[in-house]
Amino acid sequence: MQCVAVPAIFPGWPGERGDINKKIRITLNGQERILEVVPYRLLLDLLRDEMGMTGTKEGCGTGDCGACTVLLHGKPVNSCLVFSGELDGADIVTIEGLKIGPELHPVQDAFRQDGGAQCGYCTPGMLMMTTALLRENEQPTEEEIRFALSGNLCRCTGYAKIIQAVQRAAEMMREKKITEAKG
Amino acid sequence: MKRPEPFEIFQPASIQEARELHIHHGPGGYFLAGGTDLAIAIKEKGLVPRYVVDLKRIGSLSGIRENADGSLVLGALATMREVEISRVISRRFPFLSQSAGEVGSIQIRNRATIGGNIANATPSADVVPALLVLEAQVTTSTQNGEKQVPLESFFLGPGKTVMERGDILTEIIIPPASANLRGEYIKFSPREMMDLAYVGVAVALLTDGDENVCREVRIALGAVSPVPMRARKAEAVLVNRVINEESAERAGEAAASECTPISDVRASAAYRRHMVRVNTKRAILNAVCGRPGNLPWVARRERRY
Amino acid sequence: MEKLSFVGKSITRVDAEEKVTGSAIYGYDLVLPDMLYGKVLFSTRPHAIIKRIDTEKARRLPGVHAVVTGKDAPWTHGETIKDMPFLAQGKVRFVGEPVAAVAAVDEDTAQAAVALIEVEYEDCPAYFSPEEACNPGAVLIHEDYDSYRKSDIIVPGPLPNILEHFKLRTGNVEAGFRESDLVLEQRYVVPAIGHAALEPHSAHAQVDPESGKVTVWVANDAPFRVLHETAEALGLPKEKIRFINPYQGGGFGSKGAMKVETIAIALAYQTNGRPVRVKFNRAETFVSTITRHEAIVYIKSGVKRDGTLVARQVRIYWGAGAYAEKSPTVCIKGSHPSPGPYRIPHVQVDGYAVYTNKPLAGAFRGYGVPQTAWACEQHMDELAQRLGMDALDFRLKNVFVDGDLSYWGERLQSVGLKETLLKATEAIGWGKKTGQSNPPKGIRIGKGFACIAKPTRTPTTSTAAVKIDSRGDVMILAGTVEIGQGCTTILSQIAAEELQVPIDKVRMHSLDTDLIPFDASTTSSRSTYHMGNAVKRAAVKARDQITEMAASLFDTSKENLELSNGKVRVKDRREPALSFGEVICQKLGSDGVVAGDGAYTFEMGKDVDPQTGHSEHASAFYMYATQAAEVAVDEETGRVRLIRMVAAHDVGKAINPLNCVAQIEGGLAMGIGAALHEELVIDDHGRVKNPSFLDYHLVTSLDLPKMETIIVECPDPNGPYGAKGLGEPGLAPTPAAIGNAVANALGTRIYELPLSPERVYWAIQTSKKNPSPSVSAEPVVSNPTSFR
Repeated sequence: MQCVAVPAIFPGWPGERGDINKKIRITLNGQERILEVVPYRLLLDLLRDEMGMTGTKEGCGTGDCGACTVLLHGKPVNSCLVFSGELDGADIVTIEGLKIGPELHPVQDAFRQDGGAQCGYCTPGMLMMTTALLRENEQPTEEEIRFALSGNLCRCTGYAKIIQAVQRAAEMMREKKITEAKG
Repeated sequence: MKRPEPFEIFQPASIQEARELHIHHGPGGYFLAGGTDLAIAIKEKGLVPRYVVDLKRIGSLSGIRENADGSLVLGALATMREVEISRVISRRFPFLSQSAGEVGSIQIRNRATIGGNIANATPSADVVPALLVLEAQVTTSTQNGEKQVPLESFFLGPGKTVMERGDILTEIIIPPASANLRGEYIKFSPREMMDLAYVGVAVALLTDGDENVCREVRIALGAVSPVPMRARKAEAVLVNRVINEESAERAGEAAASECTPISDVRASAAYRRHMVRVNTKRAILNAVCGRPGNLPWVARRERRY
Repeated sequence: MEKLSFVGKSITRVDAEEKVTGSAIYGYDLVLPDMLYGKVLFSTRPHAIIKRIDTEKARRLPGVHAVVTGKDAPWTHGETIKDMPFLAQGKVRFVGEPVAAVAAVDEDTAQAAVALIEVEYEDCPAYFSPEEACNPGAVLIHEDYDSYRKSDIIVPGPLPNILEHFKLRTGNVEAGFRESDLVLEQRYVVPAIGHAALEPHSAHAQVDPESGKVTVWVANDAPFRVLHETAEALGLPKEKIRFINPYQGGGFGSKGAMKVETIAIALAYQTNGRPVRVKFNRAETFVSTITRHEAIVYIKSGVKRDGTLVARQVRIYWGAGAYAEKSPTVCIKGSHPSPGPYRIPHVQVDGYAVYTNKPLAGAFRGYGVPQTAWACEQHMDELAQRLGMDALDFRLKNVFVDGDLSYWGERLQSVGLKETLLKATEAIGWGKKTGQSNPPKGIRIGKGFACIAKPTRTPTTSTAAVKIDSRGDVMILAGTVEIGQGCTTILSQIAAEELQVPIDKVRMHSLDTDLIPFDASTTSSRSTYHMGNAVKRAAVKARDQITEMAASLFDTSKENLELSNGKVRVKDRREPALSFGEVICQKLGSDGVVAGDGAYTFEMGKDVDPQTGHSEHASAFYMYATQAAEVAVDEETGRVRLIRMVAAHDVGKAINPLNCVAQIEGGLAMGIGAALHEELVIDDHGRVKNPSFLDYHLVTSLDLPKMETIIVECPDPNGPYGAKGLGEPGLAPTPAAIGNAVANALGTRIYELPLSPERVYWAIQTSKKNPSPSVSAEPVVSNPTSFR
């Protein structure tokens, strides 16, 4: 299915309200960026509204659904609860940074193949959480997967296909490791 | 939901600097730890800070360490996730790890700090009952120097503590404890995760030999009184008695009688009281059962006896 | 049947790649050039006259471009009753009703301006229960109900605040009860719940100052219907309105109505052509869009001693909330099958949709059937128990089978219900000892099951076009909305099947009402069947053109050609095959295009008559399902934990088995949430007390048991490849199956949802105090008050 053809522009924030800007240096999806941010805005808004990176989703704004999960210093956090003003020096990875070159990350590919995404709105958050889980635990049990994903709500799937996808991703990543070690 | 009004965020490198910023900028400032409560208070509850002082750059506030005397020091900025997976804590006080692991989601626990959770004085905070039964102390940095207070006398009411404006909670100290201390935390909530506790019960006890005679016991309750509380009547029921279903049940009844729950959208006061009774009993029995190895998560809750 | 290449295969979802990379653009993500940001002032009163609105201060705030109230937007809309203003006009009818809106340069400014609007109210009496709202003498929530424009399906009720009265009359229930050996009556309660799609609601609108054309970007299920509704409301010809659909982050019925849309349009009229975006946050989405109907269901049944159903009388009060929304059709489509999928000679149904001063209720996956199934299927178990019969035997004795004449006068065909019953109960081990025969002390194990039949809205129309270009790429133009259900994949499979082209050569265009042919709506589980047929017909037409051209190129007749892998060749000839692209290039040139169109309507279908409840073809197809549960109930806390769930669904033909399973699993999870946790709690001031994911409890990954799905294929004669629908039934029997299992475990029955720990706890306590015969596990066959 095609996207709606609408140019994404950055609406920006008007200066007349006396906003205090702060210069921060961050690593975003592996690239160093120097940004001028409004300190009290949240990381989620910084990504979506100011940088036009709408892959990270907003589901509740209160840390209760996990749709906005990103990796901050390698750890999954709710970007709706992180202030831009605390980010100087931060290393942030979002869904847009998950692909390895043109290839899908195994986690993405597994979700694609196993029906891990239906409406797809919780998917970016699920993928970031899964990435973090598999980094810590290469071979999680079903129980461990359920535990790790319990902060990511999904209204479509009943989680069954998501859990299968995580298991398949783990398998794919282990195989990849073995092939790489051999090669 | 309200969008925040403009405010500046300062990031001091030391406690001294943080306190100075606070004095310099005057009223309307808030300290920021993990931010999981502050961001919601701003968005949902209409909190309007004039400025915010982020404590995360203060190295001395983080980390978990074990002292030679066996006491544990938890930096106020230790995250819930760090407490949950800390080797030393899960070895010494597995129920404290578990109570931290009951908070929100992993995403929340990667941000929420133990100090922030205590300083916010939410009646339903999960780690607080577990820390109460460990008789934890809280260190604060005040304008008159460092102060230590027992956690039990730290809370004054929902959202209220003995800390004054400008005070910073710096660490939580768990005093040395017997290696035989056994404990349990039960969070009772409708879902397996992501809820606030309807009732939280923590138990720590020491028993004599195989007889399960209770030598020492501490019981604490969360979410059923304005501040997390010790259930001393329930403790008195058990001391010097054999712990079994019957005595545990009586301790549960005592705990139910001494708590003061409210009715809200989550549960009625009467039901909460019953759940205090049942879960106090279960926590006591679970504690004496010891903590079997790798149980699936859902089985770790509520009952194992 | 011919061997199928794409249909019946678990093809990977074609929209998945965009979704896993985060590049799919949803309504909530959309940014338009030069757009303004809208915010809304909501009513704080459940029922009040607006004495005064002062917007002056808001208008004067720098950065504000427009402030609108009901006066600036003098339009009303509604699917069947035009009772809902774009913004409150003179009166508010629920807490959360949009009263005024602001468009400004950013959200903060808009929010600040909203806070400057002053409203003065004069309170009126408010009703928070449908039964109370229709008491004789109740104050009218809509004084002007009689003068509203209405569709001809509307049957006003005999009592105040009833906006629709559905009647089904077959036989004579009073005579039926006299003939019966056992008569049982019970009351069942289902609370309002939230759709809770992960993507909150939003809409973008723009009004072109030159042409007056209104363009709305919104993830709506039914763009053609809301286009029609908008045109009617604004008094504009349809071509002056355009709806464009981005991806939708779940809807489950909530996104088929005009909610944020109306506010965005009202604002866009005041901004000199600048587009306006209005986003609802999570709390606003819970309160100010729509909810699922609360329902109070009374069922009275008469049975013979041998288990034959004789008569059933059902009375349902549907809590419609403050405006009609889809309540009339939910009342009709939900009440009509409420006596259950059984042969019953004497049936009487009265469904009342009643205005209350609560958030609006509207379409929700299942369209009323989940609520009545909670009642009917628990009632069936209770009847069986009192008869001393096995619950499965009792159902098998009465359940619809092929050729039955239903109580609404339709001769049924392709009924897979019995098979789902047998398979689901077998899988759960019905009648057998449970796997956990020695549960720990205080834990009670129980099993239960429930079955349903769900009709689809009938008759409805889908149209489609299939285009093949000179590269051989296939484009489907179809108005079905990808709401996560997988229609893009299903329709691509159907086109690929008919054209025999690789699936990656097929794409489906995004939805734009200026471009895409008409479709009734992406609701009622109708898409695979209706749009599937339309796309199939369109693809056949396109194929015919290809084969005609190829026949002349090969100098043979069409019948001698065969298609495979996007190529056409002559059977049994060595000549190399030509790709579709080559055929088109050679015959039409390199810019050539071939297109076929297709349409489908279930012609003889006619929705049930709201006065009699009868129709010879009430639904294009029926979806049958049985679900079974095994539960563990903690007697001391009242907590219900699920051990296992089984779902057997008759899908006609699984076009994509993986997708079918995924739909069923998702339905189960939603049904489990509704059974155990979900309820919108409304206090006695009409305020929703839990409009957040913290306190409105969706199931998490840790709350679900092992789920087993069984696909039953009882082909539909008119469905594409035999397919029926599947989207809705996944959650319909779930709460009743769990309720029956809990009753089986405890020996006491709970009539109200959800089965929260506290509710179950008190039920256990009550049954301990007074073990009444009505809740006894032992059948009370000799109860003289029940038997005649």
